[in-house]
Amino acid sequence: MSYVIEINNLKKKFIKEKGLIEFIFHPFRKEIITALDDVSLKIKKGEICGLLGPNGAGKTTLIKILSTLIIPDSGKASINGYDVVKEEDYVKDSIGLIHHNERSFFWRLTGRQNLEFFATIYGIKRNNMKEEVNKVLEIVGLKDKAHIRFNSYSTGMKRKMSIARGLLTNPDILFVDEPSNGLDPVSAMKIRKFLKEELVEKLKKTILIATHDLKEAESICNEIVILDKGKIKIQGTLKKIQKNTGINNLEKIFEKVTGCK
Amino acid sequence: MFSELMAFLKKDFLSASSYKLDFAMSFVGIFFSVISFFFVSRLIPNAAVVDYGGDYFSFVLIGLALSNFIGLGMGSFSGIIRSMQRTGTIETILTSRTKLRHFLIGSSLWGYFMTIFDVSIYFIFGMFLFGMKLNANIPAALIILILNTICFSAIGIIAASMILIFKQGDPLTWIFTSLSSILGGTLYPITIMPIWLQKIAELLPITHALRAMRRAMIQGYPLSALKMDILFLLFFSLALIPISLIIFKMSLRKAKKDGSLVKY
Repeated sequence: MSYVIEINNLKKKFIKEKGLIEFIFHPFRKEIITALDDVSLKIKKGEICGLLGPNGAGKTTLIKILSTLIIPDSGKASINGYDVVKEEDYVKDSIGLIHHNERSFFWRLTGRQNLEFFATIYGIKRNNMKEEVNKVLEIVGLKDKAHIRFNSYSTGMKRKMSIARGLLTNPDILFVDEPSNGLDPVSAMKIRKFLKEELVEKLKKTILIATHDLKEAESICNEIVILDKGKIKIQGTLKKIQKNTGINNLEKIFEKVTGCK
Repeated sequence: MFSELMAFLKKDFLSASSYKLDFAMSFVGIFFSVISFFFVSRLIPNAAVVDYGGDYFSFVLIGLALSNFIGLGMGSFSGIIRSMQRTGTIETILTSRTKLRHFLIGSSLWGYFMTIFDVSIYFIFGMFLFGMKLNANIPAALIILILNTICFSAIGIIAASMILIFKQGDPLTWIFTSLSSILGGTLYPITIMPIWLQKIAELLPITHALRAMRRAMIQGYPLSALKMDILFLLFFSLALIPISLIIFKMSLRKAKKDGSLVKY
């Protein structure tokens, strides 16, 4: 069985930031927040794994550790066999990070100009650049809109541009943070369909999605992981989870394991 | 690295050229600044700057021009980091193989181009409309400008490291900017200050950069006559660049450990 993402006993704690009053009255007091508590997880190639959990569950921390943006306190995580702390550069070659922060694009530039800029800093050679940019624009269906300024795109188009940027280096693994956040139901459905049919079934990518949207997870994920207060509460295929809990509805399962209603 | 830097320049050019009015306004702003200092220079006796050729207008215009570069060197990197934290671009960059320091250098390039352009406009207005007198030793001036840029960029990299850790507070730029503007001699020669303040001023790189630049640009001093100021800037640059890069690397690691890269 080939696992492209392997996480073993990952732990991460943060020190809570203090307000001014707290800083004045308790300058040495530290409040520790456990973001990840002994998390272990394995994800197979070609899967879509949905990372579910309430706010503060540790979903984003986990994705950021796997993206080399946060250094864990202990434990080990590897991507395509490369350690996320010790072999950062090789990990970066294997991953694409797709987040919904539209501001990370340059709004006065066209879609194509944005992608050409990111392609250069991702190390794509000048003679391949046009081809690579066209390829990702075609995948996300924005080739005929590439000449339009980014600030004129709809939210759905901006989200697709984020996906296009994440695909520029043709990575094996994509980390997607809240893919349908802020999208209308039709655009959200299109994005989900695109992730599943185009990226996983056609291009054989592996995707780890952090989402609040249980319907989204239910509709596209092969594997589901529910995190709460930094711990994995439940994981497996939807069928397996339904069988183990004796509950058919994912929403009810979520309520049961996290206590969130 | 070269193609990365060119990509930054192209991106910033495309962005800046889409704001045409802003571009025109900066041109007008320079004109008003030059005209103001031209009239102020009428008030000041030329004897006050006799060590620099005796023309206050040339003295102050060079001071302002070099201060633009100094401000850019000290402030641009921290400004870029702050903006990257706000927009989330820092995460996009850090998941690529591009080193963050390359990103900083690339992002500041357009600022340097625009400053060179602004300074040229200062000099064009000064010389052709207001009779600014120059007897420039261009190679010496270029060497001073390069050393000045390296030196203040190193301070700027340390300031950017502070932004990575402390987010808003950047005491280093504040201290250096305040001290430099009061003691460095941008608007007046340091010789009008008390001796003890002059001694403090001699410890600041801006004092050496301004003195050497004025002597090279106004009086055409050769490099040999500027060697003490140049050596000071060289020493400062050689010492600060590795220190600043180490501090930056440590700050980045700390921000990654704290999970605070995009907090601002």
